Amino acid sequence: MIITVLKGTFALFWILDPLGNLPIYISMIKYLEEKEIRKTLNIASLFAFFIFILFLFCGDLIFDYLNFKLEHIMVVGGMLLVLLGVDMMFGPEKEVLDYKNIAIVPLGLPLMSGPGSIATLLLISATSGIDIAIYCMAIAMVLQYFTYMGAKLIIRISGKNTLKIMGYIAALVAASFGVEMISRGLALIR
Amino acid sequence: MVVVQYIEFIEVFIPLFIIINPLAIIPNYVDVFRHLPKKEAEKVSNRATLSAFFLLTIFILIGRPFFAVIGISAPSFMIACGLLLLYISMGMLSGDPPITRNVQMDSSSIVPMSIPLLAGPGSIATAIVLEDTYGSLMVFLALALTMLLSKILMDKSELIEKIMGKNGLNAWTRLSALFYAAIAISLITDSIQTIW
Repeated sequence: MIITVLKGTFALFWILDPLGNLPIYISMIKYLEEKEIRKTLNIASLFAFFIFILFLFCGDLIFDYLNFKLEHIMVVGGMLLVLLGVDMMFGPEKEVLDYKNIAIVPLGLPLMSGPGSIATLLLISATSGIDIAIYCMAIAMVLQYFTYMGAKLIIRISGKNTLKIMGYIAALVAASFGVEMISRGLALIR
Repeated sequence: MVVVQYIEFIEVFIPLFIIINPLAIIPNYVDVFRHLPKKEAEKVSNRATLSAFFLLTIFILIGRPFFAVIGISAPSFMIACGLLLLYISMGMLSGDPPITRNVQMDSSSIVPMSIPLLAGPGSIATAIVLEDTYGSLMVFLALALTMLLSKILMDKSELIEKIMGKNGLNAWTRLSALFYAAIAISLITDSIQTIW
């Protein structure tokens, strides 16, 4: 059972990909105070947790009655990320990045709980049972939380220009992730 | 043999020069750095071109592996660059370029002179596409020449503004916006064809 949990956790962490999301995350929180960062992360994690639980227990219900599938959420999440990328590259630097604005969307969904990770979780739950799925999800969430907490160190050691370049690359990464999600979603729908 | 390489070099250099487009950033440069002493202004142009060169070089060398590691396929990256470039060109066509809309010009910063004016999403995508067909050495040489020319143009910016006139530069900006839009569309459609 431990091996199943470890395997599931690894798959989930791989899909959540907090390391790949770090540039996006860093350029979103670079102007926030320490306290606000913690608050943002807590809200985002709680929201992501809620989303996972919601889909784990009522996923089939939602998909049956509201008549959409995970693929459609994927396309929407991709569009959000593309808009985020445009905003990060051309938007006003500070105003967008109020912590109330970033905690739920885009940090909670689709970065900390995306359609990809929901699909992985549903797969784990279908193959090895819902209890295993919950363990995997909890461990992966904790790992993800600490990865994001550690990102503060990177901000502290990098200079102004480094952060600006990172923000620029992050905008490209966000837009590319968005396009990737849209194209995968559309391929699944087709 | 030498002639072939010469022609190839031209084929790499012209698209790079058009997309990096140092002529279009001259109005910005003149506006901001007119008041600086000549030495300071040269420092700014040095830093802008050098950092743009390094950023583009890094993207050419490790762009593909980096995006592969974090799970983004090359066509998706190209489409994203195309979308951002399309957004920029639409703004340029209507006379309100999004790149300089919300940033403060600041002589100690590399934004926006270096990124995204010199090394924008379009330049990155074009450099990667050219590297695919012509090899990295050609692209490096063309990039170095482009940046050298950009530096010279930036240093002589007041002279160029006098020669081309405000209206001439404005017309060139609109014309290059049209080129940008077409390049963006070709990036997007080519990549969509690769995916589907």
